[in-house]
Amino acid sequence: MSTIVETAAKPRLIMSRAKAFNVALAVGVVVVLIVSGLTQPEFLSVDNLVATVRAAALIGIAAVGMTFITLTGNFVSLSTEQTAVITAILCAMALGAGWPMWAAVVVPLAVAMVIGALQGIFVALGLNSIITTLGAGAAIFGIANVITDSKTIQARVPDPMWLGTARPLGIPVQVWIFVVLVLITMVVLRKTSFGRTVKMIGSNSNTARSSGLRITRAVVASFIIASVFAGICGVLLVAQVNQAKTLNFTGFNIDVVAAVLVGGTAIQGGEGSTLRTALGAIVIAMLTNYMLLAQYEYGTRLIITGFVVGGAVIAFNWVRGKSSS
Amino acid sequence: MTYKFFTPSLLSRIGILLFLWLAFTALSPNFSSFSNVYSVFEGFAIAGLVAAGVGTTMLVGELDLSVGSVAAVAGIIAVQCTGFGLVPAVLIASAVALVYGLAQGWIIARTGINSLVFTIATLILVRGVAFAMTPTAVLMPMDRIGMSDFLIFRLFIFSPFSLTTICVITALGLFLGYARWGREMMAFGGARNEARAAGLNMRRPIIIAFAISATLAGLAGSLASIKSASAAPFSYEGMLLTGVTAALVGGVSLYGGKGTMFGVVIGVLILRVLTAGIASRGAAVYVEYLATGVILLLVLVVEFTTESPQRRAWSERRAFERQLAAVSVPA
Repeated sequence: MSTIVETAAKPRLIMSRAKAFNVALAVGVVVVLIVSGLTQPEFLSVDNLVATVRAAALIGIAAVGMTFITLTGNFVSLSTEQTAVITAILCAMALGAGWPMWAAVVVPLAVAMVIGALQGIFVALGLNSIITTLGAGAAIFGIANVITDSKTIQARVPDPMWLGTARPLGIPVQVWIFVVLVLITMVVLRKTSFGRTVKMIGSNSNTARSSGLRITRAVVASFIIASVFAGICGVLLVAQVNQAKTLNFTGFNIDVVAAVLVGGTAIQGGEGSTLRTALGAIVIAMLTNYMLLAQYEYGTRLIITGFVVGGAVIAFNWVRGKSSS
Repeated sequence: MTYKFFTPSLLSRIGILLFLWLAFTALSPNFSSFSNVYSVFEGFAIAGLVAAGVGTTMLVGELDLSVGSVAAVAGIIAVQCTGFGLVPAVLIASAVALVYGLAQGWIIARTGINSLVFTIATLILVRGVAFAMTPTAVLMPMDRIGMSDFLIFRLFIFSPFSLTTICVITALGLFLGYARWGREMMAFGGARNEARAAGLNMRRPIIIAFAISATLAGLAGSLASIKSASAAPFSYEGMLLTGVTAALVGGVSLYGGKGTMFGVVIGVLILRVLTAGIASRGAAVYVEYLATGVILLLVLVVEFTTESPQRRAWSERRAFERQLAAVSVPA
């Protein structure tokens, strides 16, 4: 009898724990805001907050995409940075060659989609996702350097692009896109069969397989989503600075992985949400921005980020370990 | 027990190495010149140590992603300690790496966190330490430039550096093949559940593997930095890619328990000959990067089709279905 009681009680427990994670993250955001506002007054200036949310939006969009990969139990992708780079370069080249804007956005994103699909097929076959994306990232970065000859590509758009600089209702377009993507992915993960399949694969791939779920399709789709979202970051960057080079996104992989891990998506898959990843991205962006304002050295910033990520991984592992035993 | 050293897969790898060598020599006769062979072995000296370390973590079914950052920190420590002499400087740097590796291995073994994820965090952290140790974040020159002379000194096609690498890898291979703890690591990597059932220590293999990978990365970083008479916080970032690719090319399985250190040596040599060959054709550095990435993906696919658990399960299922079809009478 006790087993029945346990299985009945368990879902409620996990739900409340998930809510506790969200609350803890939100409290963390507020605490960081207050502390940094008190110690660095310019942190709360409008200009700085806009810059911070814009940075959070870029990290967040890529991290929300990567959450799908993490949820399927395939850890993280180490080719996000390189995918963003090659999309940005293709977008800038297309704009520079006089393509209409829609084509200069759609074609590079289609390339990102193909890149994601190829990696997804590899991983769905059973290849290690970290190694696959490490190799793919190296290859993509090499190709990006070959086609640009390591030079900066000018988009040569006469007027600043609406996508990059407009601020409807005082909020940058990037942030709007970020919010919309978070909402869409939340609905997809909760309400669609695809979203539930993604979570099911992560929590128990054997059960998912024997229930006849289409694992290959869901894993490939997850990699496509992650890759296209990374591509969106690349396009948004070109819209903002009107040019692209291979060194544009240096360190982006680290920030995006940090956002997913700090957001508390279970690294073995199955549990997590894009909302939490979004909060994780905001925490990382605010932390980075604060450390820049406080003029921390680059090394100190990396050490603190490393501690935050490692601490989050250990803490979430500890909490989950207690719940499962 | 008959232990076969020259397995078909190892022989085919040696064949690939010879083929590449002959092909590049045919394309540019300079390729087999004394100085070029020497430079291939110099590249082998760094990459070999890292690949052997990363390969050891792969043998126990884990992976250490933090080797590049550890090498950078060790390089900085070694360059700062050259006042004590060459050997003490290298030993101090490697000892720090060893302590770090033991701590990292202990945390991974204790918490059971996936090492791929945990070492992403330490990769960031340790890289930060490298930058924090060099306030100007630029190249840090060595006080005693003359010290690097000894490492560049040539013995036929070898240098003290590449000879050190060969000795270390040989010792590691003997440890894994014959020592009790080494055999335990191989057993643990090949069949973790069976190892648990047999009552093996479930933490020691992981801790030793991460200690080895950090120490070898530290040794590689300190020797290479002293050799170039400078250390920089951003260096050795490509080490992980080279190390993993070389270990995989050398036949170390990502699924654990399979592979030899001799295979790793062949794998590193294949990779070095290939990159040296590409460089000798006058291609830019990033083409080597591209080539390494493509090779890594190719090896992954080949390895998967031959020896992954999924593949094995698939062929067993096929065999079972065939048996079933043979027995059952079509209705």
